[in-house]
Amino acid sequence: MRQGRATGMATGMAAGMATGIKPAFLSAALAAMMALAGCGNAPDRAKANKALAQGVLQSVGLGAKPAPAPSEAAQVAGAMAEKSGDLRMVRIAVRNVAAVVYPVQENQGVRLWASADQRGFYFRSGVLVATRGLGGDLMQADVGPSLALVQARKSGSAQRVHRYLTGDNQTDLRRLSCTIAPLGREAVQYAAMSAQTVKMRETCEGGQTRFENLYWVTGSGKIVRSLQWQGDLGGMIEFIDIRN
Amino acid sequence: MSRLSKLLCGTCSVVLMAAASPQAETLTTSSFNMYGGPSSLIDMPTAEMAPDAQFTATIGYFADTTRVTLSFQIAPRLSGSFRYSAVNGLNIPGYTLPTYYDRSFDLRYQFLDEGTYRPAMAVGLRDFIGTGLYGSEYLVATKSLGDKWRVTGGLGWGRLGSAGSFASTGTRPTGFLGRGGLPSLNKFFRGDVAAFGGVSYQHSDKLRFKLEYSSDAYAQEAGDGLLTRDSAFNFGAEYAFAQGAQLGVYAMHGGEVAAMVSFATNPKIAPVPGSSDLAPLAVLPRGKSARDLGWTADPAAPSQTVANLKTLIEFEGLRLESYKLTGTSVRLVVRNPRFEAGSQLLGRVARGATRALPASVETITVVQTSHGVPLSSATFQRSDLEKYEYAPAEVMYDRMVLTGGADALEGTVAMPDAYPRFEWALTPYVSVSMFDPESPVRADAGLKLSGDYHIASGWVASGEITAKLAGNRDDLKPSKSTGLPLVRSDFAEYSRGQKIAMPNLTLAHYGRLGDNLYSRVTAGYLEQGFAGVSGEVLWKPVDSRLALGAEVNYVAKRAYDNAFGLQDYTVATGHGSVYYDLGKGYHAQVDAGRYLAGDWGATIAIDREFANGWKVGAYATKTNISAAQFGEGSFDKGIRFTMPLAWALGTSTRAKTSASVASLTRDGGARLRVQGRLYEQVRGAHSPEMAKSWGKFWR
Repeated sequence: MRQGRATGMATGMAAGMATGIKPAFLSAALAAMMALAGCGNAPDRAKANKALAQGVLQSVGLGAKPAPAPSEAAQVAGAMAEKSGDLRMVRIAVRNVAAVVYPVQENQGVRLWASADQRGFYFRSGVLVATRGLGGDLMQADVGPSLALVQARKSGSAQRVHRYLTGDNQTDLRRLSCTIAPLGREAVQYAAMSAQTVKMRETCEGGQTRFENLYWVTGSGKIVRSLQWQGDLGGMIEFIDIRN
Repeated sequence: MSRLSKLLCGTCSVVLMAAASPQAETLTTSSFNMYGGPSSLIDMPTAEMAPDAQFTATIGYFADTTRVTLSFQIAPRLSGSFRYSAVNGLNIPGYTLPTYYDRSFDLRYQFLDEGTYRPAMAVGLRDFIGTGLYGSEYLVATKSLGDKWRVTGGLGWGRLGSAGSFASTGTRPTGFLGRGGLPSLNKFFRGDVAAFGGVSYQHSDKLRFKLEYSSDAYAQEAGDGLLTRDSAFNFGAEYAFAQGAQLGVYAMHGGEVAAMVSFATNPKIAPVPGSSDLAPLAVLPRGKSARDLGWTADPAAPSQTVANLKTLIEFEGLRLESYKLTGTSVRLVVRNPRFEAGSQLLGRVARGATRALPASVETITVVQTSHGVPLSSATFQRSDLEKYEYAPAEVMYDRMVLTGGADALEGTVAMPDAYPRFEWALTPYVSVSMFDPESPVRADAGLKLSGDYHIASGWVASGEITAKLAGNRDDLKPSKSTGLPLVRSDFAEYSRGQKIAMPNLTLAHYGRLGDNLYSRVTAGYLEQGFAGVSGEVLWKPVDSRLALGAEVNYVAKRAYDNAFGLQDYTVATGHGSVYYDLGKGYHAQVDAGRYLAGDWGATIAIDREFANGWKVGAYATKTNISAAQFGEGSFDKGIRFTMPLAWALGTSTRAKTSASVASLTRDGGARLRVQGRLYEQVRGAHSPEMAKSWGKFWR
């Protein structure tokens, strides 16, 4: 069994969504003072040292630059040629990256969409309920009431619960109060997808967290485009279906 | 004490008149003073704390004095600092070198929160177990006025009572220098008292201004011509750079310029919270597919299943050592080179297994091992994994059955590539010695080649060879004889003239002696200084926060060439140990027994441990040798910290870096440094540890 089959993730797609997170300079430098790069077949130390050294170099603007990602249009064209079925474009504005994701698994009504470089986005009927591999991941979210209103294109209020991990591996639970309202009709067109939609706005607030999600919902309740808050690190992420 | 209490009440009455605020909280600052403590003033202390768990390094220079300070916010209300100062030109009787080096420790406790009208109040000790160069005590109150202003006033004793004193509480013993190392209890809050104070103004996120009235006369420094103290006032400005670095420049005492840089980091705040590890394998739900046992009749099916399991486990950076597969259950014995959090290992292995197992297999057991020895056995129902993949992580914790797994290897089939195997690494190394007055930092650097030959489950042969490329550690002069056997104080002899050394060469066996019992036997060249045999037993139930250990060693001192020779000193040494997880992130360890020089005593260590693997702690060892015979420092003590590299990197690795700042290396209270002690290997797979990071199960 090859890795690709194991995850259901295809290889060879030209998308990249490296997190682009630099280790904080101080912490990296602190570590580098005490640990330097090396080699060997022992799994942990040598590898960690190498990664650290690279991190320190990158954080001061030196070292290997990651290869530039192909343009969004090239990624879409490549994905459409390679795969049939559902495809979705993901744009992470704060990191200035875009990549194509495709569904690999469904369980308990949650669909996992993954990029070729193994970042995962988990949706319940188009509403983001988890991410993996972005850093600062949304571990889990209860979005049922919001989803019901958005799909029905009705206004109302709803409660959300988001769970994150802190830097100390503790669960950071955020309860959010949201109001949902339709903003009007809008046609959406992207790559091989076009749809007549109602644009919905969901405004959520709780503690220090405040965000405004947007959803473009078809007459059948399908979310074909959205702008959703992932968390403190990922910020607002845009999702657009590539095919109808 | 009556005079003291009167004095205190002078401050308190103002404080207590103010109504207690119901919304009190710890008053914190991101600023530091020249002593490296959290403070919105320059040389004076305040009642402020740093944010909980913050680690800070500061370097301050002023009047031929350089102070390097490491501070740690031990608890929200308790701050501690360790300082190494170099004073150029200080004239200390009996001290001949041009620069005087001094180590000192501070503590500060904020005993009263800030309220609407009430200031925060703190009590503090400076240089309380050192030689007393900076010895002083204080009581201080700080009040914030709006977001930008902070006002501080306090009373100081010792150095902080040396200028402008207006009263006196008893007589302060004047003894200045000695061996140090013991709390100078008879000095605390004795002698002249003076008032100090100041204000700070936070102009913007980046820029802060400070003004203070100092009660430190700098008598000794002024007497030796290091500065002229024309004024009690100091003022200056600070600028905050990105990533926790700050620079401060001050005008002090009328004509002196001072500068300070500080760097802060906080173990609780990772560069990448939750890590940026790639997405895990997803659970493959069985749906309504047939769960019959037909596959077991097909001779090829089980081996194909095992091959798939192996691939998936290796995909997650782990290794399958052995397994037991039946029609309805599977047991996977897994080695963990990757994850600091056992919960993350369990979550990834269990999910991967759902993708390879036939539908009839409902029970999935994951056994974590170290050196082939089972540490714990976690059993999940596959239906639970299917049902709760997108539920909060604690749901799976409640449904997991975790046992000690003493018999987890029974009936398992070993993977052919698990043993024997050879692992090696070639890495650079740096060894640092600090606090030698002639050269405060000495270092050797070179290459280290290490190898582990895992002969069979539980058996490992290990060796290390170092090649020194450069360094000056061997210039260290041997310390004065104290009459004790030389077991540590002669460490420089081991690097003198040596380019190639063999720090260790051992054969070790790890095993289980029973339900809650773990064992280790190590023989060979155990460490740089000693060779011999070391045996250890650890009692640690899988759900217990308490562990008990016993270690017995019989060792001979190694020859200085760090090859195969031995010297004629042998000793039987060993300890009984108690390990206890105190909860809320604190951990205590007590070791009592016989040390390398044949002295008897005990070591107490308290660590603050973070779920992500950071540890910061302090330890002290007292044995039956007198403080005079021990030498400078009076007894062995130090502070230590461990940083997991995963925290800095943002991707999972078990590699970590540890450092300790200890007293001078002496012969009393010295322990054998044998590798592979059991407790740290075992506890990570047990429930008290795994529960701390359980949120990583679905990560």
